[in-house]
Amino acid sequence: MSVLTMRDRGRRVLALGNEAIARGALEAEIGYFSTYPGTPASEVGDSIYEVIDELKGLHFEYSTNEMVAFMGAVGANLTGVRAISAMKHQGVNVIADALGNVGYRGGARGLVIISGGDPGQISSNTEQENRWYAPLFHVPLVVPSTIQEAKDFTIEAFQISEEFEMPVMLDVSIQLCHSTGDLELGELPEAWPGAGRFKGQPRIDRRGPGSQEGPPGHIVLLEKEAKVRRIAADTELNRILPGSAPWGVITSGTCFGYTLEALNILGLKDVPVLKLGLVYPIAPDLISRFARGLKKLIIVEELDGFIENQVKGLAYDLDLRIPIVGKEVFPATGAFSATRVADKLSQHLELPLPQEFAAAKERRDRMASGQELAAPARGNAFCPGCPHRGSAYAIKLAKGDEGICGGDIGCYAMASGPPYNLTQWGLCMGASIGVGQGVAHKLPGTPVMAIIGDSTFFHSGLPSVVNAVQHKADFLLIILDNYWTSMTGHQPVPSTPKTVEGNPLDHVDLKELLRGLGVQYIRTADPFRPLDMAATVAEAMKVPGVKVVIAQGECVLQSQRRLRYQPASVKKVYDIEPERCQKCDICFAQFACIAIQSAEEDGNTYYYIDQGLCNACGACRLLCPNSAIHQTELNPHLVGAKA
Amino acid sequence: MTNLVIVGVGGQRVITLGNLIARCALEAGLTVRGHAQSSLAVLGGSVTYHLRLGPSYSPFVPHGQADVILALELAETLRAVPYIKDGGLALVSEDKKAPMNLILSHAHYPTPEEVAQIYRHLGARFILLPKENQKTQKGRALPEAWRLLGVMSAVTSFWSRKKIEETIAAYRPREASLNLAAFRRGYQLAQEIEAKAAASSPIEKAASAGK
Repeated sequence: MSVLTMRDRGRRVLALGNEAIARGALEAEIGYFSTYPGTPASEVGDSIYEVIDELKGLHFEYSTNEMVAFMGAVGANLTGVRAISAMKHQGVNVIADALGNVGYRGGARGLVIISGGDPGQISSNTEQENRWYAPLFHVPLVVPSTIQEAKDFTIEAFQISEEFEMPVMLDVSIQLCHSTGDLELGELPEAWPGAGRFKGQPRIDRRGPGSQEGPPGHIVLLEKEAKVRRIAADTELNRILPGSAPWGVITSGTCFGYTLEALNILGLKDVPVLKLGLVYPIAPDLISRFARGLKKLIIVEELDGFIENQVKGLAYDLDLRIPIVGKEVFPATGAFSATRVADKLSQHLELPLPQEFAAAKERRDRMASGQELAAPARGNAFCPGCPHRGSAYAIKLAKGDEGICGGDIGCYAMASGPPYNLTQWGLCMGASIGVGQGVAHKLPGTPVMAIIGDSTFFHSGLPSVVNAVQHKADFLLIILDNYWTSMTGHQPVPSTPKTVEGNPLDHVDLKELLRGLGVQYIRTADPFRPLDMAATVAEAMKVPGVKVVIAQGECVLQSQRRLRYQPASVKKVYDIEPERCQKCDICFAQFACIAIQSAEEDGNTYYYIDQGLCNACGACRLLCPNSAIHQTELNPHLVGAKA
Repeated sequence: MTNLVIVGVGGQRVITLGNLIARCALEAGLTVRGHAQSSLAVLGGSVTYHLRLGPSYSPFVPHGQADVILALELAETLRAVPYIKDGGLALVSEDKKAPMNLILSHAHYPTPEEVAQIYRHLGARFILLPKENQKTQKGRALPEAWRLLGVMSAVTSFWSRKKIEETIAAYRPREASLNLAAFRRGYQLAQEIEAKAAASSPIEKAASAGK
């Protein structure tokens, strides 16, 4: 049973950080939840989606992009209903226009944004510091440290939002989103607000300078921020752990746990610690209270010196003349851990690391420098049976050396790596088309193409297609339609034709849509037949103007899952016949499916298909020039027929 | 407090295994913190699950503090080296999933002996699960994750075998019989390994215990 729907208050359960946030939102009686999936925040929405039938009254949606998600939340909020929108850190860039305006316009009461950060750049293209959005748009910023706080602070964020009539941002790092731990449940409502009452926005003359003091919207916004700053001195979101040492630590989020553990490792048991839960704005009173009598402040935070910046500013006003150390000790790049914090603290304080840590560190350094055998790098690769592998192979074949191909954000980004080395640019969501048309206009005569996934196409590809058609770019767009937002956990997209159980869905027809946008040349291709697809792409390359090839092949993880609901389907098994295999390396090194592995016997290398990895897409069989790959069909109706 | 680091490759059920152990610990009344890090590749990427059973400050096992390393893939075992503590235990599957870059560059894939030597040198006990091709009556291979859990259950005393079996059965009822078969095979295998270690000469025994 999902931890989101358990009714026993006070029960301790195991929850993921993202689930704890979702649980908090449900306990806070939200009426509207919208999200565009993005790691690390995807499971906030996924965990609600999983049990949506049991959540009476709640509107849930996977929106086409973060902006649409957030604007919907604003709309629901204008009817007096609590609303929440979850996204990854870069998703906040997408909502920035709305977020910058919502404070001026007012009307937000009970509006929370979940921003999933990625220190260490584990699942993103940047490790952008989103906390800067708080001062940029004057949004209060709440940062939880633990699974329990992830739930409790989500509820707290709604209270701040309602009290001060401002949206509140909850910043959670991937290290908390994907943490598992125990969570004590609170009270769940019987139902969630099904309908609201339109309240609208307050009447602020927002057009011109209302007075010499400036635009009224801006003035009201700053007044509200000042009010939050006043309560920030005493809010229970912030905590002081007292200690007798002459210096103290200010920290927040997951760094709080790392700091306590690091201090413990170094045997420093009496250091006072200020843990900030409300990270913006910070009250001067709080800093002066904590720093009283201290000779130094050490600030432990990942990424930019956001707290450091605020504390140093406040220290000037407070006439606090003690050293404040932050980024000069703790780097602004990469994720932290107790190990890393202990290491940096020990260097700064000139304290020795305990022997076992020093030894482990030395060992790690030796492995990193190649002096000791280390684990081989395991770069990102397509899953066995992934339709994108066939697409990458086919496009590379068709493109040859003369064509230029761009990429976008999604699983198919792995086509940029070896052995395909397909894509030559990548930027942000939708940039395959946006950048591609610019390249095309300035490279007449060169075939310019780009790949984009179905979900990314809907997210931010559409406006660029319209633009390319209007301005007559000579450009080939290849939509890799695998029916799902696969990389983030298989959320449905507007064009998903059926659920994993096999039930048909109302869906947008990609071809009709493109035709409506003015694209004249549209072809479909099957990525599981790479040679046929290469021919389709090669033909499309010759056509002038904007043309689109849609590579239709379902994400193999989903089609495999569907087999569970169709136990009577024929199972296919593929094998390599060693006698026929000429080791031409097409399947092994060029198509490069990781289910095809090599082994040695009596000094001879041979290739085989790892049945534990193979997902039976069959593409390798069609590529083999020696017909060395066999397909066996196991028909469940025939099993046992002999007996 | 007990620290575990589970390593493997996407698709080997590293996260499912970690979640199951976490659940056993929670039901035994322990506080649990854990963190699973997987790569962008859903299948075939590197996966690491840190798990701390008992009071802890953060979900990540500090260097040199892991009591147990569970490795579902041989080469990935090397990724966990900095975490093992002196006197710790490494339970390692012989399963080989060569990464694509290694395949393309024809680079060296580590041998079990090379990996074992590193762990033993660090004072850890290293147990290698020999590859077995046992299958169920329906022809399904026994999932390596549960075989490894069986071995851990036999050589450690975290929870009773019965308790773990109950949790396995309740956790994924649809796959319970397959998972239990693998778990029991692992348990049996570990007993055989232990018996062999006990019968060997004191010198070899000391070597295998890493003391």
